[in-house]
Amino acid sequence: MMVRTKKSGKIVEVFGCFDGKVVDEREHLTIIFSPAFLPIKWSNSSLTADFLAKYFEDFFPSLKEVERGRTTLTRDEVRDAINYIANELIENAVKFHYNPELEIIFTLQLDPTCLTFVATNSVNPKTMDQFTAFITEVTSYDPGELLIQHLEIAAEVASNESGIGFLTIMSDYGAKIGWKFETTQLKGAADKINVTTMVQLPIIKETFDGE
Amino acid sequence: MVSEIRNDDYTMWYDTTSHTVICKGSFRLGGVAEYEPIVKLLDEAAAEHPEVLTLDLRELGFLNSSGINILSKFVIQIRKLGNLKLVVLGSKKIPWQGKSLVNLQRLMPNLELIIE
Repeated sequence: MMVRTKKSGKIVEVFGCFDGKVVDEREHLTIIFSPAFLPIKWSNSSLTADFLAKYFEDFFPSLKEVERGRTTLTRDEVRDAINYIANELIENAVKFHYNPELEIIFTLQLDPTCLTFVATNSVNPKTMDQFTAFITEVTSYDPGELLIQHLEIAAEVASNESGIGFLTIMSDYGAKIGWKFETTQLKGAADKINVTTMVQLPIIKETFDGE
Repeated sequence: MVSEIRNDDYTMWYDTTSHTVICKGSFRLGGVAEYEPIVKLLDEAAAEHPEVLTLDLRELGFLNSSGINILSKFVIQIRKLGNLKLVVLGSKKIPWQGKSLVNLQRLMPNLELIIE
């Protein structure tokens, strides 16, 4: 699904599960990378993901508490999921960030039923068609099937841009993903495009042994 | 022959006696080029043509999507060879393994996946 609107001179396009919520008063952490001032290292992704995982796991129960009837993900599951999802989103944002003058912003928020990951970076306007074609594909088909197809295709070609990160987040972690593109059209210059990727990871287990 | 890789993030070696590639630590490298030593070690283990090749991931705490890509590629390569049995060992203690290793089995249905 795609929704297109125009707001304050910007064209805003929303794809997938992007409910428009912004960081509010709930528990959240935001980290801002400013590549114009400090070059980003690859290890920034894993260091940030490790920290976020360590910080947020504390809000979750141990396996023993879950066995006694708590219905959320366990501490170990949350740490593991944040490690993977945050690392993937930050790696992507860093890899595809187009305009070094702009910041990369990453937020992780604890909501009542999910953990919400929000990553914002700039995009090369020339890659927009490829990006939106991929989004249309992943939001139209079963992510588990697509993941296997993409792994088969990736085995034939040497590429870093297979979309396997997004597909794994959807397929293996059961998370929802959405994207918001904000385009500023400039006279006599290329468009400036920012993308915000939102991942919502459910933290309530659908079933548990205690029931 | 690269039979062992050791650095701050991960350790990986091929045990020629048990025909087992053992991976420990975190695979969070930046794409195909950085995964090259890992691919080389896997390829060299497969080139030994054991009857059964085991991939022991029980202490691999983290794998990013580029790593998933690399392991999947290796599994598909083994599937295409057709004459080598592949066993993958995982651990229930590491949540991602229960979620994602089953994808390797979907790529190669006769792969034996043991999550203990």
